[in-house]
Amino acid sequence: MIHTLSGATMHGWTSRWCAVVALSCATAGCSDPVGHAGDDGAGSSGALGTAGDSVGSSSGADGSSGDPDNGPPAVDAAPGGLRRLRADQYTRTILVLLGQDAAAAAAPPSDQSLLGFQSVGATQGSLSPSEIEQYEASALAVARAAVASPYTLSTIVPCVSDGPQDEGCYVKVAEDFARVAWRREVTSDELDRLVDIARAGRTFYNDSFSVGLEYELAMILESPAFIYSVELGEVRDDGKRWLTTTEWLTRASLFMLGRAPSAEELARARSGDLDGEDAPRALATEWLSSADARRAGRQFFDELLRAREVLNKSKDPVLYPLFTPEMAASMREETLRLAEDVAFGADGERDLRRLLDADYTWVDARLAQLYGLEAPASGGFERVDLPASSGRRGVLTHGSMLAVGSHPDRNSPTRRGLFVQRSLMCTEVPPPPGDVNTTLPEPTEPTTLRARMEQHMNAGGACEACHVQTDPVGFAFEFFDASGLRRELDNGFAIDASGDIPGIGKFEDAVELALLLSEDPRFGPCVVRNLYRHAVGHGEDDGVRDALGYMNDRFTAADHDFHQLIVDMIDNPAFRQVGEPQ
Amino acid sequence: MRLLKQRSLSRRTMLRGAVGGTSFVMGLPLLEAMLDRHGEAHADGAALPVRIVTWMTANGVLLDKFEPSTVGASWSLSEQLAPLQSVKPYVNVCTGFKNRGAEGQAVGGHVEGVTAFTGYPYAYSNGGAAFEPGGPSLDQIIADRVADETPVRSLQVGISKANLFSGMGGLGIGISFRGEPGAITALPPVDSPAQVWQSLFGIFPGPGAVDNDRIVRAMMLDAVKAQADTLRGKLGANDQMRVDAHLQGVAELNQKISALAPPCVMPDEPTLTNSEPVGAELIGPVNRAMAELIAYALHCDITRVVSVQFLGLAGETPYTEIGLSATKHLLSHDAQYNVQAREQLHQSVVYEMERFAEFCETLHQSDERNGTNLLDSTICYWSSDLSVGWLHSLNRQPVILVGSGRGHLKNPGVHVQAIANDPDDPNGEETAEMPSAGNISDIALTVLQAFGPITSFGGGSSEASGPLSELMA
Repeated sequence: MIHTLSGATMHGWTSRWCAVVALSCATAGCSDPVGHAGDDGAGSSGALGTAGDSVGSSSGADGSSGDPDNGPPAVDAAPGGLRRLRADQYTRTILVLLGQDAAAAAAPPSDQSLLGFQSVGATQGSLSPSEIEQYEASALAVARAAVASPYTLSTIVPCVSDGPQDEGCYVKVAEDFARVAWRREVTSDELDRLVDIARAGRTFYNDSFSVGLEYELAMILESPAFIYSVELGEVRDDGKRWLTTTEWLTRASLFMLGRAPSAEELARARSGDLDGEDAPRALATEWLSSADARRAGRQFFDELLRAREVLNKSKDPVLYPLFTPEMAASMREETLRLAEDVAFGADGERDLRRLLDADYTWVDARLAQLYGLEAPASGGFERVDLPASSGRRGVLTHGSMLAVGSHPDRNSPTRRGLFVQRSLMCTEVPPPPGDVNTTLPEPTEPTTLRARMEQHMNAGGACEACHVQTDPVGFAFEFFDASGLRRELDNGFAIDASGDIPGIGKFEDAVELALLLSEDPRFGPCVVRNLYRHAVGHGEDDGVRDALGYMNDRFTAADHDFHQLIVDMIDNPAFRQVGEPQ
Repeated sequence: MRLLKQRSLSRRTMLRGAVGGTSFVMGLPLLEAMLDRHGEAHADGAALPVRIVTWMTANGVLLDKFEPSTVGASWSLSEQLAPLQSVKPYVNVCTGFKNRGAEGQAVGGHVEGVTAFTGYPYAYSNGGAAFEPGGPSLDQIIADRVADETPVRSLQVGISKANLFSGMGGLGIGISFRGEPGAITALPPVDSPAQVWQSLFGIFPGPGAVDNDRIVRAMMLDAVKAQADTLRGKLGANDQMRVDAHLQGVAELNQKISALAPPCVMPDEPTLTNSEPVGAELIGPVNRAMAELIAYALHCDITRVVSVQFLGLAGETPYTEIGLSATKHLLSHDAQYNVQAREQLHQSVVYEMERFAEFCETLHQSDERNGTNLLDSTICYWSSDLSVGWLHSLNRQPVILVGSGRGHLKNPGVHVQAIANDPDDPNGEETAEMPSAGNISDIALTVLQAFGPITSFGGGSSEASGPLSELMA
């Protein structure tokens, strides 16, 4: 069941027929779920409130205590409860606890995203029986691989390699390994059961210590205590429910490192080393230089920028011969490389707005061909400057974004514009009305897609209210086809990529729009909101509005430094506290 | 599927019924020796199994080429139904029915089309970021009744992975939902034939390690259950439901592990994993592999409840096997104005019907006894996510029923039409609205009654009003 987030608004459209209108739902969808919720909604939906009202500057008239100098404002935090490890987190955790061979055998169920992020799905979704089966099969396979190459496990429980390989070792596994995997103490009943299981396995299989160990490990990994992180917190003197140090460490590690804590990290938490007021910031700062943090950062941008979705886009091979599965993979990698470069750059060079207006990118030979650039000498990806003639700057002109924001056989200015509005500006665009015809009538004479859409979607009528928010933004990218290839004509006619959009400004093409968007004051709050969803796994309720505003003020003041935002996030009460269990 | 006829069953294995004094659920094919002397029930009086398969495709049909021209008993297959020729006596077709799910808050065609499988309207949740069905789907209502009879409670299968709503997450993207209104768990389809094989057949203990393995695994599941029970008490209502879903999965897995290996010849493990990206999917081979696996599972009585999502909501994948490069979703829009797109849309519908027919034929070829086959005991319930794509219309949403459900449905089948279509505007090009009457949920209720005295289905604007006697034998 999906927890309904407060603050959600419902639009009131029930119109069956959207004027005379409509571009194919495929093409723009006056109201078609395709163009809206279906494809772009992904919960990057702004429907929980626009940037302006939910994550706006804290210095507004709402009396928030948002002065950056006074520390973060009080919050009414998102509810505590169960957070399932995402598939990537599950596998990375096994890598740390049991080594590479074990991680290679991991096959957890896949994730569903909600509000644009799998982390939200992980606090809301239920597991189906077939997913429970997958967890069992994965646990058994991982355990087998871990016992076959026990090096990593033996760093936690030496007896598995050094012996004695007796029942006492099963007890040690239950005491020492389960405590790490479950991120909590093991009860005596649980310990007895684990040893019983190991003993049964051993007895049934020719007195094999290894087989018994396999079943014991499998049980530890099949346990809800491994699959879910349990965030209940404890009420402190201030009446607030704070995560325990280990709960906070786990939440922070899942967010920042993309995995549960290691044995050493958990030991630090137990030692009291992380209890100080300054400890969260210090630990986060320490983590930021790790490879895990970079990988986890890529995960965030993969979801935020929807780069991964290009892998499952079908394009007409006749119209777009360059768009192959390999090209799609290169496109995703390009976007993630730019994001990593911007977010994890050197001090003073981590302004996240460069995502939108970078005049450089990364290409391999395939992308170089698509972009009309020289293929890198190395054969792999190389950083290249984008010439003005390319018409490209920033992620919005990457192949990934252009292909995802298109149909299999044509552009979708609606999808492209909707992504900008919903995911980057956090503008509320209502979900579509239901039962409408969204097919664009055939033109009486040949013309551009833009002209057809302007005639039918943007010339008054029921469709205009929403399409005025999306299509004019999307028209800026008309110099790029549905595979991201530069083109000079649309249907044989000159392309007009210009616009003059209230609240955004006047531009001639995608490059000028990119520059406007990078200066748009809605971008910062929108990043903060999305990072909060990803980090905490909940939509942003009123109770954290001031906290997000506070983080945004500091983010803005620090020239949109992503590192500062991450450190602020995991130290903020909105991250360190929970409400009553949901 | 001819394999089932050629391979003989071992009577010796079949006679196993219990191990160590503990009884296990065991899938069992029907054999003469096990039946009463009329062949109408098991010798112990238990009813013979009735099976359900729900099947959904997406993006609709062309009504002028789909709906048969005459109604009642003497009807002929239309162009788009022609692939069902070899099983025609088993086919009942329902046209002109109105999907009433959208009469409340309109979520609309595609999504609301699934009301044909749930009987409940859909609603947006999370401010439009997701949507949810109002209640359980018809296959799961049946599963609730027959779950204890078979090792596997129910099976959800996907053929194409394309689903334009997959980003919506939440509950809304499949066709199988279990639970009660307000506490629904989605059962997403499994796309990989290899994984389906594992889930249906691989789960049974293999040679050499049989009983020991499952005893230890059952101990593990017992420990999981104990932990989940403890955890549950610390959580809020929402998470308690999530733990309950987890426990349900554990219980079903335990039932599978505890089941005796059925005395059937198991199908070979398929190598297909259906991991090709959308656009390069092997739809035909995956469809064939899934059809075989499902037929084996039904025949061996490993499960009686299956749902197949052939194509996800508004799915965008081209049927390359017949030379098309445009996706059915796009074609279903462009077909309004474009003659070539309309022809390709027609080809796409026929292609889908051929895949469905291939599945039905696989059941047809699976002998049970006395010349009967799986279509005599099964009802396959087919629909799409709307009727006419470019209108996103839920008027005249088509339903096909293949199989008699052990004498429940008419055989030879009939064409039941709720209201005649407008012959001058069959696809709503002029009026944007085809005539439509009745309630599509009544068809599902009629099907449900093959499984017991079920008198209601669905709720809200789409609650069923009563079964359709015209369909019943």
